[in-house]
Amino acid sequence: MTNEDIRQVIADALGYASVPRFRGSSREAAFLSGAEDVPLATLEIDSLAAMELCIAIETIVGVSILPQQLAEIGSLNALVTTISGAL
Amino acid sequence: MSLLGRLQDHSERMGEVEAISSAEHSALTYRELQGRVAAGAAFLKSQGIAAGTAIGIAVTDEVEHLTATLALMAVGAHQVTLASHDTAGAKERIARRLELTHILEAPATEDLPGLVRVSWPQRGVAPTVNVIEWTEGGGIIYFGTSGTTGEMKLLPLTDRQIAAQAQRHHDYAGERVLRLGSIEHNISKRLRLYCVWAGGTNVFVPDGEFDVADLCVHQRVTELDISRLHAADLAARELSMLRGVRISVAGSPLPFDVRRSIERNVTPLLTVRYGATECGTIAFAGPGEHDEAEAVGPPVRGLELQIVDPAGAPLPPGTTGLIRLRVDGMTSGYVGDPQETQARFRDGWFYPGDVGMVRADGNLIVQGRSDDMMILNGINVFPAEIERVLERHPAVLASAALPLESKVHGQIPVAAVELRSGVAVTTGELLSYARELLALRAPRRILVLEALPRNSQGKILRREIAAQFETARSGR
Repeated sequence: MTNEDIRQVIADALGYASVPRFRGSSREAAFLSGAEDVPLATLEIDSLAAMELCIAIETIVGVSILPQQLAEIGSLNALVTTISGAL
Repeated sequence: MSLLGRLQDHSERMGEVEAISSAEHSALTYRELQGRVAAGAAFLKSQGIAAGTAIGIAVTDEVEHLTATLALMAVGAHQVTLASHDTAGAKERIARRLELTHILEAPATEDLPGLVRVSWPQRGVAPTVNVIEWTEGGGIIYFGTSGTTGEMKLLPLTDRQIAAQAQRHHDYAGERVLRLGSIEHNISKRLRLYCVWAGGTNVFVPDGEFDVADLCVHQRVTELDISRLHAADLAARELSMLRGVRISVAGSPLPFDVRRSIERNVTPLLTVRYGATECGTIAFAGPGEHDEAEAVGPPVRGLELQIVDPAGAPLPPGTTGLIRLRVDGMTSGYVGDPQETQARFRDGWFYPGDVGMVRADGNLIVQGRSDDMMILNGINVFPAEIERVLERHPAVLASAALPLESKVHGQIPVAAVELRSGVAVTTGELLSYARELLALRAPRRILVLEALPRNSQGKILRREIAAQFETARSGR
């Protein structure tokens, strides 16, 4: 799985987790192209959305991430690295 | 009265009524069927089959299979179906577990070479004997059940137990009953025997291709017994010629939309049954009794049903819990499986393994299999609920929900769907639709399959679907 695939998985997962104002935004496009990193703190990820994001990642790629790990991971690019390293 | 006693009684009181109707056979009246069973029993005795003989039936013709079944009951043999769709390995395991010594077959097979072979005459045994001499209560029919996971469970039912179950199917009396599933299948065999008990006419499907509606008209069918899969097929057709035919669906829960479509497109005379091989019919919702909660009606008369917690303490009405019941005609366990017997039969109660609730109006709602319940981050999720929702989507013909195991979240619900022909929908649309209706209990991934994998009885093989999810997950 390439990093581009992982970026798409994360974007899909954020959409499924109903993270507001990301799906279809210019930030999503920039993240998918690799042009821009997105700090997780700038996304409105509440505890339910964090759980759904982790479930979606695990369901699609089989990598387990705890919701509380997201804060340590810090950004979407770091999340790509974490998933890539676990595959 | 025993099943064979009823057959004798029908022969004397209503001997000219058709017992059997089949394209391949001349119609048989109850007097003729009774004569064939009596002659068949005499033939079996001449072949050394006696009370207690453990024998497998491998008779593929459905009418002959029914006659042989009744004849074996008459001699008191212990019998089990060795179905033509079973693998040689499955037949060997059945033979070993039941210590079979004989096989009754037509046509000849090469299965189980170590058994004594008895060839059942292809067009039945000519009736030369008028009265059945039977060993009442001596013979056992073993039924196989739950073939989708692990080893098949084998449970014994005596003539008297089958008769007790048949009494809850008394609505077969005077009806011409068509059952689409082969008599080699557990539920079809029991329903055929119930029909004999009730004095109805067992109508059999012809060999080869046929149209169900045409067959019903041609055979003057008044009751059509079908599975959920057949029901979904019928629901999609306009079959006004079946307006006066009663349709009975058993085997799996039937979604409300399918019920409504059958009532609108086919017949208003729809009955949905909830039951189990171990005990027969538990409840049924008849014409005009279907609602969005998909209730299966009140427990049948004479059956005691409770909703209990895992420790067996009864729960108040309207509370979801384990279903347990006791009733006349119930078996008491599984052959060679003390663990499963202990799990399902406790303190005189049978636990079908379903979760449900009894509404204030007394109607039972079955919410899913207790074994199948998933726990996602502490939330109870029932596959049946997901499947009901997905199958209400106009593009979805059938669905199967199952868990993906997760060390972090417990069990993540996912689903596979089979679409109606000529309809397109994306998985994203289905995910959003399910999310809207099920919220946190929604499936987190959906696979669209050309056809859901099924076993020969039409049951969905969830393990195969789970393997496809694992493949899809590792393939990304």
